[in-house]
Amino acid sequence: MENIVIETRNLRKVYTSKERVGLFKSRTKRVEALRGVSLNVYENEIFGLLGPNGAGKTTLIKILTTLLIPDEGWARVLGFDVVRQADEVRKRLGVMLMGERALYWKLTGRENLEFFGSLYKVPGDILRRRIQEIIDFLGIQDFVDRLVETYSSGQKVLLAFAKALVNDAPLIFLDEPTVALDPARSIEIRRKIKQLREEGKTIFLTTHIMNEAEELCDRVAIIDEGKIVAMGTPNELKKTLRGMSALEADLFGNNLNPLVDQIQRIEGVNRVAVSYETTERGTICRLRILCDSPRDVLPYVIELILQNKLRIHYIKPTEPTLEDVFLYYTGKLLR
Amino acid sequence: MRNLHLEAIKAVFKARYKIYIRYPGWAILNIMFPLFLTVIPLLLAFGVTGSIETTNLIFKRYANTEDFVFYVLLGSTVWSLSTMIIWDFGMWLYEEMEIGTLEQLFLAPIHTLELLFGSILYTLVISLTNTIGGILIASLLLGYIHIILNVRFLLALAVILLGFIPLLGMSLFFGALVLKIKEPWAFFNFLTALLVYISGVFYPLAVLPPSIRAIAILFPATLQIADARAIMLDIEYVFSPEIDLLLLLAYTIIWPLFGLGMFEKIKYEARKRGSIGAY
Repeated sequence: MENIVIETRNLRKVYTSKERVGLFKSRTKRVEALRGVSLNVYENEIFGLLGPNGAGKTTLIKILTTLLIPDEGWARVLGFDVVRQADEVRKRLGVMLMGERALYWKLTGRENLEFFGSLYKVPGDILRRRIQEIIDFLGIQDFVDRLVETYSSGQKVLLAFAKALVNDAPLIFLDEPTVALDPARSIEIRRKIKQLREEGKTIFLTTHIMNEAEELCDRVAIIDEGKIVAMGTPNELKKTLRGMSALEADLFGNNLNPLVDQIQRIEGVNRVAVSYETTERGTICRLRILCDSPRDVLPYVIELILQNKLRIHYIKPTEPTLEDVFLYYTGKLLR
Repeated sequence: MRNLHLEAIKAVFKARYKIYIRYPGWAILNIMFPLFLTVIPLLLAFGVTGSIETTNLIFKRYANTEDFVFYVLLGSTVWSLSTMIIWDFGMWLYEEMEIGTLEQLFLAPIHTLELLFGSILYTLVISLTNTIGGILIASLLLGYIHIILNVRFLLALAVILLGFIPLLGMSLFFGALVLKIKEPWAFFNFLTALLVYISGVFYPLAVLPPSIRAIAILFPATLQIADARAIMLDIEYVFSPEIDLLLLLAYTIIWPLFGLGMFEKIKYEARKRGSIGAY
């Protein structure tokens, strides 16, 4: 049996805040961030948590990294309870949260690493050696001795990633690790994450980038409105679509909501979602249709697009991806 | 309580010190601050009576010393050091919240006291260097150097340093308030004014009404200031040397325990609310 590194059962978290409605009156606002999350993460796997903004990803990470106390349920990390044994948990975690805001801009990259490493009580000579190894591993020699305030966003993200490695923790949390990186750096970081897994680390990461999750993660969990709606390997999740396929279309236009409603009513269409991207040529609307048979649905879809006087950039049937799994379970696109 | 680690304390000190020296303007202004303090009593004396001699004569009636300028200089210097210790930890936590690194600190297995000691060590090094430098320069200029180069000065310094221990507790309490109320400046301004008023920085405690005096004595800096003056100017202690010392020793236990208890309680509440790092 594989070793469980993270174990949560029925985690619940409600945020309450006061909203002022006059000089002396206020009303309490409740937001249910987690609604009974149970999951296991096993040793030496890359586990991805996928979810739209506000789905509960950050709340879950904050509970697992001891920054937040759940209202109900429990979580154990490396065998330690995140509430009662928070310090034991902290000693064993490498965490990259919030990227560039997690750094001291008036210190150099190396000084940042030395500072955070010292908080983990790593002895000076071991720490200095470890930092040099991380610098070499990530290839950040060119800028690590400059003040962080002079870094590009991508360089800050790389340093935040380096910071998560400084205490040589067996479990690493990465929150959107490639979010501000150019494609070349993103590929490099993904390679490093895989390398860390090969070294025996367990990685818990959140990402918005489906390709990244598909490429990196041994298992993923999809979280929506505070609940885990699906969990498994990317292939297992794709199999839950039971033979469904996808149609992908890029259209020029501003508002596709009426079209989405019309397509949703076509027989054989399971889910439809749209995302918008602003380009030099105008707003491109990316339509994703999950259906039983693209061949049967395609003529109706084209007819509706034309009826709505929209221009087609391209339209094509595709193999289902993790994105379709996400669409199937949440009715939304992650982009 | 688990062991405190020197590496973590040193790391906080070093990081704060490095950031400080990368803002040269801060260093220059901090060196000048104690010199400004020395000018206040001179101007007060001239402003109220027209001369220092007259002020000293009148002042003797309340304070049993004719040394008004040194009396105020000592009080204002100790007070400025004390307030730096009280506020600095909370202000630092506030800065950490603003730049986004507070969560990172709480993600590490670092004890609150390691954070506090690292932060206070930085404050002490910076402010003691500046203050002692300022006092020496001012004493040279105003002719008090013989008082400073006296064994009594070392005794007074010991009382002042002892008084810093309970102030660490107050510092933790203020840090807790920063975690709780997030926007501490109104409270900070109010309390700074209140502490100047009750701790006898510019006048002897004798001029305060008895009820205010009773409250003032709960504040360790009141004893620090009064006893440092008593030692150096050979005037009355608040109660007596023994009772004052016992009181100060009691505060070295009560205030830190209270401050740490409050900080841990409010930090736990912030973890419950999810408000660590929010400001």
